[in-house]
Amino acid sequence: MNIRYYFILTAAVLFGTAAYASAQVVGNNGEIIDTTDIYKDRADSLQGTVFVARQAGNYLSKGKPIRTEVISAAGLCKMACCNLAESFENSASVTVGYSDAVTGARQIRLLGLSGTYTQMLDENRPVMRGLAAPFGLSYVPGQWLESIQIAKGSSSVINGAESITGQINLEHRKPTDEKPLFINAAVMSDTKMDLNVASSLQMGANWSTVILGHVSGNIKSFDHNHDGFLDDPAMLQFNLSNRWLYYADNGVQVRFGVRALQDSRKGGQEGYDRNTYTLNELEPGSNTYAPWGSDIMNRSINGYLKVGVPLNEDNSQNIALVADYNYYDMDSYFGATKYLAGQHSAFANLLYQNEVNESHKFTVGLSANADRFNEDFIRRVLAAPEVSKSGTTNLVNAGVFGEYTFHAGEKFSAIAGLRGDWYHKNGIKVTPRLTLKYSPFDEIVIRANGGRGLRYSTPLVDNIGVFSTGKAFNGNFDAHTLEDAWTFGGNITYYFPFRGLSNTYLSFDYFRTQFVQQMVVDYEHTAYAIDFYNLDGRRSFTDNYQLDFSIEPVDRFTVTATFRYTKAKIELEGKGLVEKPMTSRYKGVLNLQYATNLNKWIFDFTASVNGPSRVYDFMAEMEDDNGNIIYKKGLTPVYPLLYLQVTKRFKGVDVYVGGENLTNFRQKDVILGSKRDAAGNVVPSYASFDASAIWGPLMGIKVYAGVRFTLWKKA
Amino acid sequence: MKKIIICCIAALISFSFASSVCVASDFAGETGSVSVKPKKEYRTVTFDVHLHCESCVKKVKENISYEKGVKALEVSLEDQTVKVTYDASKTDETKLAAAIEKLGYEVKGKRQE
Repeated sequence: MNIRYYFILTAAVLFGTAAYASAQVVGNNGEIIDTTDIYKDRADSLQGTVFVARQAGNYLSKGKPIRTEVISAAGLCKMACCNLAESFENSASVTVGYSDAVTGARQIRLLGLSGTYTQMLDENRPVMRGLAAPFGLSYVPGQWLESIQIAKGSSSVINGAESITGQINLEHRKPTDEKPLFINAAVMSDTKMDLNVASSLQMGANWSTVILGHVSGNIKSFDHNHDGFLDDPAMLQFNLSNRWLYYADNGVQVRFGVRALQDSRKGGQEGYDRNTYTLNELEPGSNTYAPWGSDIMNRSINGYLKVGVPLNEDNSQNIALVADYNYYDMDSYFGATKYLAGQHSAFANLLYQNEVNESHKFTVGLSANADRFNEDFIRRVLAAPEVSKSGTTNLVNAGVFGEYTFHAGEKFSAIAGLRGDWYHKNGIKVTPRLTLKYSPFDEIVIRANGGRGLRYSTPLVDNIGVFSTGKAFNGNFDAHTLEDAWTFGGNITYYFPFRGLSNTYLSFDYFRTQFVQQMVVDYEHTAYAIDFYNLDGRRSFTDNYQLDFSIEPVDRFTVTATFRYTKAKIELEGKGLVEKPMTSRYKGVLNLQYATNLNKWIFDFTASVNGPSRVYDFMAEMEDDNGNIIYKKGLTPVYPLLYLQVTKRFKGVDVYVGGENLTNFRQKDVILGSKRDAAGNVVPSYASFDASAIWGPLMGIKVYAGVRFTLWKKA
Repeated sequence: MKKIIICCIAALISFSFASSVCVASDFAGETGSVSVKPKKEYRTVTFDVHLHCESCVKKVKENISYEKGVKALEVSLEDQTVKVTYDASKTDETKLAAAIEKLGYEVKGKRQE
């Protein structure tokens, strides 16, 4: 057994023993007084003097009809959580990974499927669609958020039909927060720095606003594994948002806001210059070639308006309008390939809601979504003749929807939703969804859920990792297939009556997603090429099982454990039904949090174990320097990730230090390719080059430190 | 897999000891026969405060917890009360009430316990 782990175990025992010994009570004669029974009979007093109602970091919402995991503000402060992607690191429902080893793009998986099948909402407005999808997770700073709700399964029809595996709703800091100033600054050992500023200002009885600013970047990029490629791209991001709330005396609410973003990232081999790069074969005996890399500039502006008008005094009837406009511009270069695109997106939703009585409520409405893509794409690789496509694509859908909610007290609720949408390339589609929640006793909640989801694919940006290869693109890579899937599942949660608290539970859920139509991105059909084709009757499905457990065994010490098992299968052309590649079979997460009295010190520890994935066929025979097969049985190894953070809280100031990936586990052989230069590094201009086969962490251990300053509004 | 199990066990041991230590420390001073420190005089007062939402609860918790001498704090939106246990040698009810009012909340009354 590795000596490092004996050290960790010994250190832990010593720490615990030292802490215990320092608190040992010495009697008048120097004897050690046994204090273990001091509080034995004083449970009531303990409860009475403890900082009550601490918000749990991650928890399952008991009241919501659909199975919803909430990451609260406390949960967002458990880890560095510099951006949204990192906020999911201690969730087993959502798995976070890299799309490739070059661009820094993060992707999530929910129910074993790509994050493109999860609808992202910003306070119930669809976001991160189309061109914004590859990097969208990096554009939401964790410190801007108040909470995140992860709803698994078929969600409400109100926000459209695009959610297939679920919805993730982001709640930002509110204009009504009484915090005129919040500042967060953090630095990581890889030189990445973040600065966040938020200011919530109330201007009179009716108006309030919040200004959110973010700057992040890294001073230096490293190549710790010496494969000739930067581990993380050089990045610089500016992000500014301003949100307003007008609350009229008659109950009308108007919310509107704007956001502007610029993000640049340069990765790959040091010295890459998109203006001078030439695609050439390596001359025999030569070790010089133009460095390959990626150079990406993303810019975005967004504006939105939400109006809610009560139609009667108790607001049981109201109408609401949600309108959103987004422009996203992406200029990206990968070696000699370029993808320049702009996307105009408009969304509008008009709803009428009527809460007839305590048992019956319905919502009806109209909604429309329009996307206009302007693309200029040239694929230049040695593997194939040049391919180019430029032009404008319009994707429009509009429809009507209705949702009926029935409550039988606290015991039973049902939500039935139906949408009818016209898709201008695919005609009329009907999307039914049903959610049932039954609570026979207060301690048990049973949920069942099912429905359909539809979304237009954008194959190249949905799978941005394909650009970080030397492979040809075959098939309909420029088509926008209307993907169609059904998701069914259920959840049963038992709340233990433990210590009079409501946060002790054991939960089990199962979901199955079955595709009727899907854009398939096949790395295994043709050598040195990536094939894009429609599912067209072939099988593609995912079964997802998850167990969650949460307990607070003593005050201010919470333990949460989660285990997820995924079986994902797809029928690939020429291969039949196979396990979906690069999809981990299981993930387990253990989170421990302890806070001292009044939360003045907070200790967070998260450990995850990540199960194996089937590798692509072209990786199965890979050997290490000693001639041993790297991926035994064609599977990636099981690997751990450990996170630790210590926070000290003062009045208005939090100081925190922490570490990520404490076991320093890193995926080796990230850059694949058969053609190598004299130094042994992969030459990227060849067809065998592939930097997108990522299954594990790219960076090793990282330590960080940060400070949060909050100024509260005074009288 | 072994690595993850050992680290988890290590973390559990550390947290378990640390939590039991801190609970014991909280109450060590309350046993008459202990002579670790001079006995502190802790008092508890409940203020009736006009709180209108969860944000108010959070604001009170995040600020009053760090007032000098505060040892424990309970805020109830339902009962509209703020219950403070404090070290009488470091603060008093007047100062605590003033701190709550400085946050913008009217203190309507108080009850000594």
